[in-house]
Amino acid sequence: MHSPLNVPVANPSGGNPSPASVEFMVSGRYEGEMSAPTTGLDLLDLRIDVDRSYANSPIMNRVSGDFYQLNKITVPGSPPLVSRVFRESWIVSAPEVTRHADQVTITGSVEFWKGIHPPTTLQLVIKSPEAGVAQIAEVSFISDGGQPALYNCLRKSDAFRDLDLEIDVCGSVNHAPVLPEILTTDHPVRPGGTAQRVLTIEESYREAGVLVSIAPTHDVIDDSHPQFDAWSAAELHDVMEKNFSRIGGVWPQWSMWGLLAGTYNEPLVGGIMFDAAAAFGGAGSAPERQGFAIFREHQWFDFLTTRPPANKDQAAAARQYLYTWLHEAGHAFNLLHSWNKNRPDALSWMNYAWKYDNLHGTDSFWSNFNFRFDDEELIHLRHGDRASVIMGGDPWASGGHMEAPPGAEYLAVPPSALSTIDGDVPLELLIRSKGYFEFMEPVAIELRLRNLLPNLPLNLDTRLSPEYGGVVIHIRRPDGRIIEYAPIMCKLAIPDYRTLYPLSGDSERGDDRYSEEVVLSYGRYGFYFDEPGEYLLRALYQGAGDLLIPSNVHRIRVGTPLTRDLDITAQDYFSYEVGMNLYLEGSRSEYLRKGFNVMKDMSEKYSDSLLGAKLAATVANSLTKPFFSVEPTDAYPETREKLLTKTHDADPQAVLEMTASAVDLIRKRNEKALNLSYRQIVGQRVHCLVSLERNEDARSEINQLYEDLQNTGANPPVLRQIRAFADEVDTAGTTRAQKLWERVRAQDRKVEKTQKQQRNQ
Amino acid sequence: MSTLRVDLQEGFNGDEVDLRVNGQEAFQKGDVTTKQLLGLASSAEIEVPNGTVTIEIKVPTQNLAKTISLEASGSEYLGVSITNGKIEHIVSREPFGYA
Repeated sequence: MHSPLNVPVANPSGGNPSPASVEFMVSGRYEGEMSAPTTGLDLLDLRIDVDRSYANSPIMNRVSGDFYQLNKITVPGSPPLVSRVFRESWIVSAPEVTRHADQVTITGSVEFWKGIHPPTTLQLVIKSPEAGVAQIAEVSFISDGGQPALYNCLRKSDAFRDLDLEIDVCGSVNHAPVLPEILTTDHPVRPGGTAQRVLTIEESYREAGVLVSIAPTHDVIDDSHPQFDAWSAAELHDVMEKNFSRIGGVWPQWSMWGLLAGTYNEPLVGGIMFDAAAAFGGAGSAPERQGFAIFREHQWFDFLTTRPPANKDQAAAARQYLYTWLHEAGHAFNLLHSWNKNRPDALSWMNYAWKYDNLHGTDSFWSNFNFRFDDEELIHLRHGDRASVIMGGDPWASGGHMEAPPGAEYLAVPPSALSTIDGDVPLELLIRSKGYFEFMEPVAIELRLRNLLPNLPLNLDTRLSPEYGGVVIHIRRPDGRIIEYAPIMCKLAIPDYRTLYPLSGDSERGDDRYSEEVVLSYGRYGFYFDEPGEYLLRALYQGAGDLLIPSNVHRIRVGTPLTRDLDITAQDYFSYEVGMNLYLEGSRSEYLRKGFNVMKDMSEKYSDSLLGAKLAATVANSLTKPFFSVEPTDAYPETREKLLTKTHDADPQAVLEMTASAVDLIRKRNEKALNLSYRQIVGQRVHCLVSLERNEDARSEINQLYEDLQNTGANPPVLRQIRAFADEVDTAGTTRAQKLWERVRAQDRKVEKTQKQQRNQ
Repeated sequence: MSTLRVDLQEGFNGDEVDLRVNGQEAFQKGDVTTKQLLGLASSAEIEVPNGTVTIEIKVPTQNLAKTISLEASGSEYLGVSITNGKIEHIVSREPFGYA
């Protein structure tokens, strides 16, 4: 996979990039909305890094940025509600900078971190600043065959990123200095010509291009329990969950938590960024890279005192203390150790001094180290793909600094996979499911739209299946790869608009939302949940308009095969024929017969599990209606026409037998997450009972469904739908192939329309 | 006697590690895996006689072995890594630190 970071640094650090001298510097962060071709459609977060905007801050000679989609909802009598959703990042690795007396122009080729884009050129112009007026960058993106996209961006900062750092302290080590501070010349072992300056966490990261704000107060955690002696990664993560004020917010975000603690359970460890997968030595819980800890009782800090140091040992301890804080925060920015990036000679906060000295001689690290990250790391921090830098984004050790995982070359990480939404959010897209799925059990999720506005109805396209193109679902697999669920079929249809009313006035809970079940087991690239382990899901709702809403991140665990027999069955199950049967909700096609038979056998064999129940429902679904196919015929020998023939009759009796234990099992599970599945399977059975003229039994099953869903707290509109369903049974008569649910939904829409008209009057 | 602290550092991935000091078995551990967040897999403290000691390091799961000598007096620190298919070591008078 191509990475823009592979491009060599043209102008590594320091010095003006152009011979022509001008009085004004342009580097820093800019932000502005699209002005053409569509005003206000997008927002650009722009980072220009071509001259020195801050003392001792190396120049990386890069321009980069992030695109956000803007959602603007007009509210009568109020200012518009604005939210923004991250879309993608890009970088220009070797910009051409031309300086004139009155302006600076920058051009270069844009490389997007993810996805496929036409060749795109960046052109930007910054005019000389006027007193009291923020600098403006006029930015154009010119793509082959497309209209230029124009942005006017105002300068916001001379830093490229912002970070909020919250620090808490354990009572046992709550004594000065809590935070590190050194004078670069405190220790005699240092590079010749070191610029004398005070370095803190804020100042060091400021030189790296990140504006760090540390909360002024620190919570104190009483760690005096007599049986407690050292921290584990799991305990650190647990304390972060309880103490980090931002933990409950929407992630990823530019926030980090640090804990000053006593001792780690491996006493040689002076600090750890514990929030990474267990395989790397972390606590193994997503989202990652939110927090780290520093261990004050480590021997590195035996001589640590407040400034100024009285001797070399104290100066070394203070320097090591600063190093450890910056190093761990660096891990949370998704930086790896230098040697893990094939740069063992790097003079960086991310190298180990003793490792460097082993290669270059005693004290060689501190004799040459200029208190900074190396160039590649600075490029990552300032200009890396937002998802791989921001806390809670890509998992640690993935993204900008790692080679792609095996197989990723044809499964490019899609843009916006980990996007977040900021601002006044009009709509919620929620993913939920029962969370745990047995091995091979079809994975179905509920997608729910909910109007969050206090007093404005939203008319939305409610086709939530990815087949319609309005919803995109990203799946992070257990191996860390993020892939986009690709449906087998793409459906072109008119939008299915539905009004979601605000939860106020005379609307009731349920009128504000719409749910749909989406089965994700199988798609264009095969089975998506074929390995045991943890999966993370996130969806993006685009609907039919310009609204772009990301969902929550939903965690799913797929269990391991419980028996050897089940493991062996997987060989037959993970096949094209079974996958297509799952996707098509059962098929009697001759070409998929093998899969049909595998599923039928499994549904009987595992009838006491949800795997069996769901397979039974899928197989049964294909029996609810006759199946037609073309057969060769002699009727039209000259034209070679073929005849559409009924190859299989519907078999309602078989459906009822096949789903009897399935419906019983789902009922007994009594899980709200199975409500949609329960409704569907009862719908199937009612359809068959009506066609067998067993209306009384049909009503009885609907009544049972009503009662069960009422007990699990279903909302009134859902219960009303079920009542309407029962009424349909009475009017359905003996007509076969009655699509009862569709009639119920049509009625629902009529009621909504009437309500809407009444509200408008 | 001296104390030798052995840190198994980079390049271990579910490996078995055997250490012999002057021909005597001193340390054996299975499923040794480097924690990339720290650059450390496992540590052990071994009592060794003062003076020149011969240490034989074996990683049978990668079919690797190396024999080294070091002068022991007081506290010694030995870092062992697997790099490019070879066992490499660092000897230090100071403990290694990890972050």
